[in-house]
Amino acid sequence: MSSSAAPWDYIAKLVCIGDSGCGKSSLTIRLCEGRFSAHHDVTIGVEFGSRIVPPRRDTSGIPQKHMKLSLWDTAGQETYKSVTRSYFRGASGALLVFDLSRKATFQHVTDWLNDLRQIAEPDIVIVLVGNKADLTQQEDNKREVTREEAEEWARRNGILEYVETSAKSGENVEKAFMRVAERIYQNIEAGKYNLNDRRSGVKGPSAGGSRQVRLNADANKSSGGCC
Amino acid sequence: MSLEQEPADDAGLREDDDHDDNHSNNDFAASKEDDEDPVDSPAIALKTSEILAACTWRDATRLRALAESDGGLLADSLRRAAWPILLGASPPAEEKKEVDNDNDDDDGLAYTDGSSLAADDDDWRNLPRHRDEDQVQLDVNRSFVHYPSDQSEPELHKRKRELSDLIVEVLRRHPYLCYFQGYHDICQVFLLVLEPAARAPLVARLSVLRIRDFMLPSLSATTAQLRLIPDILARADPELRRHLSSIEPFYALAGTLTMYAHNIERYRDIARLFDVILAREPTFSIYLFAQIVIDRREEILEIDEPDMLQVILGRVPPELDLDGLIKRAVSLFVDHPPETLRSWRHISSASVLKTCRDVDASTRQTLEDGHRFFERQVKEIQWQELRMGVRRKMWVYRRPVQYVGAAIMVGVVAFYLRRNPSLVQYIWSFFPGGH
Repeated sequence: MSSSAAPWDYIAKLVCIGDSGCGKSSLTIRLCEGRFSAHHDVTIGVEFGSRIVPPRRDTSGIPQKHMKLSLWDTAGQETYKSVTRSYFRGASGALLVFDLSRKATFQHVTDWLNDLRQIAEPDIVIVLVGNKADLTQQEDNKREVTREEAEEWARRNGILEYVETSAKSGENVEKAFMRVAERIYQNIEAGKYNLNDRRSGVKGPSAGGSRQVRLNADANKSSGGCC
Repeated sequence: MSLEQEPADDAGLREDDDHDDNHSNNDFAASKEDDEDPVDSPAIALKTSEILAACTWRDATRLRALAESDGGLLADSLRRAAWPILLGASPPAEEKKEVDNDNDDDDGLAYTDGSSLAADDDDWRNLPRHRDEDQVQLDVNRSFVHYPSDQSEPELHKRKRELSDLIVEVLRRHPYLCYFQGYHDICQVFLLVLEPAARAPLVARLSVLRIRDFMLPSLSATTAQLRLIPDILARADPELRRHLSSIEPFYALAGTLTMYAHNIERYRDIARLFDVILAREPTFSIYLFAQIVIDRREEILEIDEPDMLQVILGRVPPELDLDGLIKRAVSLFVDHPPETLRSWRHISSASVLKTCRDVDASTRQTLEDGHRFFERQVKEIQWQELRMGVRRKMWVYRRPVQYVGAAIMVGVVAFYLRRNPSLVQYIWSFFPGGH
């Protein structure tokens, strides 16, 4: 995959994090492949997906800038944290996912957020995602986390937005990712990222792009090292 | 378990029937014509009888060679006899049977290391819950994705229940083991190959003696194993090694951790790969991954973007010529044995990579030996983490530490010089014109 005729203007690195079995992979598959996979493998370490999105809803007729979201879908099991955390570095956006039908997964989002804040960039754009909304819309309502408490938690913790999704039906999945993408794009326009800074989670289309990206990986390299 | 049993025509070969195999150029990796029964081939028939003979004589050395050569152990019926020998499970003590079971006539085969193979041996259900059982359940729910493919919902449901029982039994009987996601991938293969009664004892031996590093409370022993991959590349293909210098070898995590069960989607292939992995020392699995990377060097050298590199490297190609791959990996191992790798000295002496360095000796290890190695490695990891923590603190407080350190040094030197005044003169003599 060469970057010479890249159909995007920016690449933003996103991570999908949260407890095991919340549907992180399903959300990623839904976004990147547009389907729901009832049978998919457990994620071991990390999986990768990508999708090119126009970061703004077009109303003006001005040519759109396209952003490639490179999406790292991480394993939920605690064991893998030392590996998955190394992927947090250099991420400019994150989906913090919990399962609406399992309270414990919501109780753990604080831990995930702390991890993320420790390692990722300080201005990382985070959306809180309550997944499996379909289970709350059936006759036998499985909801264990109310919208109010999730919103309240998001507000208190400086989260951009709270979105309830269903990877199964596709409901709001696009929206959740687009919120992150839009905010990252606003940050780019506001000059928040130094697109030439190897630590930045956003890469521009500039010449020598691949070299730049490689430097970025150098920053990613030292997992769990000091400083 | 009698060995003059059925010819190799059941479980293992049923998969062969409906798959077209165009990558094979020999008799062993299934026939070119779908309907040809592989047993018909004289070469297969010969190898089958060789495997049976090696099992009868419990000739592990011969069995290892057979597991490595083309086609591996050929069929599940043969694997059922061979895998216990490769893993050093004690032979069933038939004579103990009558003593143990006068109350019923089950086929309880008592194993000399204390485990029993009785089919109704359900006593583990009364053991305390293992802390990872919730995670096991989550993963079992998502199991059997690729095979077996011809199952109805109730059958699949039954398989999942069996898988859950198998994993939970091993964990409850060896509660110090930590479950990892991917362990269920390995157990799926054991479940499909082995008879119910043989599963848990053999998976226990595998867990405690062969993949113990993956079941420690921390992933650090696993990542230490992965770091051998760049070292192998450095020796075998320096250009490729340089090309990958910007990324961590985490791309190999899912493959090595699951003995490739997570990556290889065809049942027949994964069973054949397990043959050789069980036959050789655990480090071989690492060489396999390195060989897969080397085999794809042209494709990999064309990719510059580290993210893409990670992704491409992590995916094991679906159409692998397994026999060829195994042969090349064996040569790679012989040409650059573990001792020649830079990071080998960072591997704990309690790691499976070192405790199974001599495969023959490792088959004689008991589960208690494995437990001792486990505890030793846990202590090492705790000590390592403590040191890392101190180093991190030292880094945070590096300025004050330097000042305090320098002050102490000055004090020590001053004290020493006072007691040995002649040394002052000696030191002074080093400076030009210092007399």
